[in-house]
Amino acid sequence: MKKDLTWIDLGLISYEDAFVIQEQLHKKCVAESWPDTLLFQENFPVITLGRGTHEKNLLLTAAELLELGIALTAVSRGGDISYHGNGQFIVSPILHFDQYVKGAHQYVRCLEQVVINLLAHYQLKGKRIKGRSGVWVTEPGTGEDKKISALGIAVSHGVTLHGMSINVNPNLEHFKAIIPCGIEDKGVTSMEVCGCPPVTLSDLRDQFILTFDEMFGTQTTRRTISEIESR
Amino acid sequence: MKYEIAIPEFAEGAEEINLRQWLVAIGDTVKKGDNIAEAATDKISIYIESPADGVLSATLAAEDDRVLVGQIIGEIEG
Repeated sequence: MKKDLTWIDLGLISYEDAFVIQEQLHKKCVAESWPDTLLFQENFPVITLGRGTHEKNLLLTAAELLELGIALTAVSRGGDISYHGNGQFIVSPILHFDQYVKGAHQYVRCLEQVVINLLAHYQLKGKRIKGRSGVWVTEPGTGEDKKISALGIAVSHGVTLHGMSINVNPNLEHFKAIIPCGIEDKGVTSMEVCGCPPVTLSDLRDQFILTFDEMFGTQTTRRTISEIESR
Repeated sequence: MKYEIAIPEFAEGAEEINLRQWLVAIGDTVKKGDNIAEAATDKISIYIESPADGVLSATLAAEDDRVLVGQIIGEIEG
């Protein structure tokens, strides 16, 4: 029997507002007053500084970022620096992962595989690189391996937070403001740059849900944010 | 009574685990199940819960230290 899962799409939203909702949802999932959920969002341009950020990985000043329309915010999570912005697909599965897979490591492998399978649907060949997190592709124009999907999860009280992003058609110039996750020798690319025909984030979301359901044996249906607030 | 805070098994086979941050300071009162520290591999971070009601009496590992599964990183005086 398939496990029921819920999905919510926050649309285009600031990182801070989405994070508040994610924490609220996580708390309710831990208390089991809300079902396990896939939370989708797209953020306005923002550079987030984790508690483990190395200053050298931020390459522009706050004034230069402002000129580019990129906000800068310190966040409570661990880890290094990251960028989010328009044209980037973000999904945070908030779920009791051990009800679906055996262990957090397998959970991460399955999430990576969902992205690889999803990219294959769009005729892109995603792969893992040993010692590096996320999903990578060989960029057709340069022949270089570049990251197309970043991944980072947290587990609190047995329920996951955060998740993954896929670069659909973001402004890749914005990534030049940082050394993403402190990885200096590898670049970042997008589905658009890799020759994928235009795809909307909502189309990608629907395909992601199908791919996720197939991998995790779930059946995912839509809920709205107002339903969370009323619980 | 002293309760040990250990790094749980959370990322099978992970070679590198870092203690990313302490979420409470020595002397802080905590309840059993409160998140008190965060440890992470390159892909997974886990919030470590207090094993008991009490006070954080010692930290045996510092932020950014490399730690092992099962390693005692602190103590709760309950």
